[in-house]
Amino acid sequence: MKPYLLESLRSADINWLLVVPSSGLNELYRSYEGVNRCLYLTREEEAIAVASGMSLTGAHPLVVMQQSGVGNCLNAVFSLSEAYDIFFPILVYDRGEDDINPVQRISSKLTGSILVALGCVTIDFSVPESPQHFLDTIARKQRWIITLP
Amino acid sequence: MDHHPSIGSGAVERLAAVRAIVETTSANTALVCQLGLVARDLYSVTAHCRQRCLYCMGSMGSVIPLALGLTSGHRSLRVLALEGDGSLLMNLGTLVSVRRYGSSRIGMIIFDNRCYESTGIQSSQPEGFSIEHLCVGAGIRTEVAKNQEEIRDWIKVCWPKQASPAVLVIRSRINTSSSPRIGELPEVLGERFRAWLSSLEKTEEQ
Repeated sequence: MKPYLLESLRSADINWLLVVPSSGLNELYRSYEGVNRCLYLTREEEAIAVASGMSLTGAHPLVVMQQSGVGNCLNAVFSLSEAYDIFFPILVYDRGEDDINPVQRISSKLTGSILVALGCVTIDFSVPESPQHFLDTIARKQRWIITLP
Repeated sequence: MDHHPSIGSGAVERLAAVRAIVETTSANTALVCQLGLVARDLYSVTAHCRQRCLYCMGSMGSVIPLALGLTSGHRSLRVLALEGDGSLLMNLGTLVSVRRYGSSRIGMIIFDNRCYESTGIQSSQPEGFSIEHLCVGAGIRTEVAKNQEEIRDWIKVCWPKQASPAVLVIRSRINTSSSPRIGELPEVLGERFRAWLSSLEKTEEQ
């Protein structure tokens, strides 16, 4: 796990982790599992709806998904979270254009252009400035955050 | 050609069922409702209690996970999710999530008219298929209502006794008339619902 990822989430008071199967972040999941605040959900749009409900109550969830799941959830983000003005961040783990799986390489390239259109922010959680960068991003209510392997 | 003689042949009229739900639930129970005709019906009969209702106008299949999020984020809130058979089929995995993580404060009412009524009455299920068997298969306590009395009884007596999330399937029939469209913007609906949740929290703290 990137050294400043957990610190970034804690500094932003992220108190629920809503996870759709995604590689590369197991240690993060375990840290929230330890306090019963990690839910493994079945599909990306389901995670968006759960996060929307939590946010309405004042909780601070973070949805975690792989870049290959972004397309699955756009309708829920647009017609529920955006339409009803419900904010929570979404952390997209982008497997990158160098991934060993050729399908993931294609997915990363094409989904990347969609995320740019959505106004995504890329944060490198291996640098000490990243907790502040994460906090600032959330304060600006920028929903889409990419992290790379 | 596939024939679907059972489409919309249930005994319960949708608007009457929605009215029974609203009248029977307590003032501090949230109602979250799927898009389409059911949401329009709910809006038409809840002018006196708008604040506790979240009427979806999009995102099919989202109200059950919404209820899961609401009850996970709030320590005492009870939530009734009003869902349709077609909408549930769009997000079946959520039954597994509700079984896994949901509390007894989640009630799910499925309006089962065996079709996508809002988009023109296309069939949603093959003959002999049973929505309640899906819910039972997910390990969720499930009842079926064939009239308004059974709806009221489930809300008042059956749901409160459950130790885990529960489902009521309502056999509903197709309506020839529909309620007017919801006349407010979604952000207004969302903000009012959020303010109501916040007021509940403050009341509990006092």
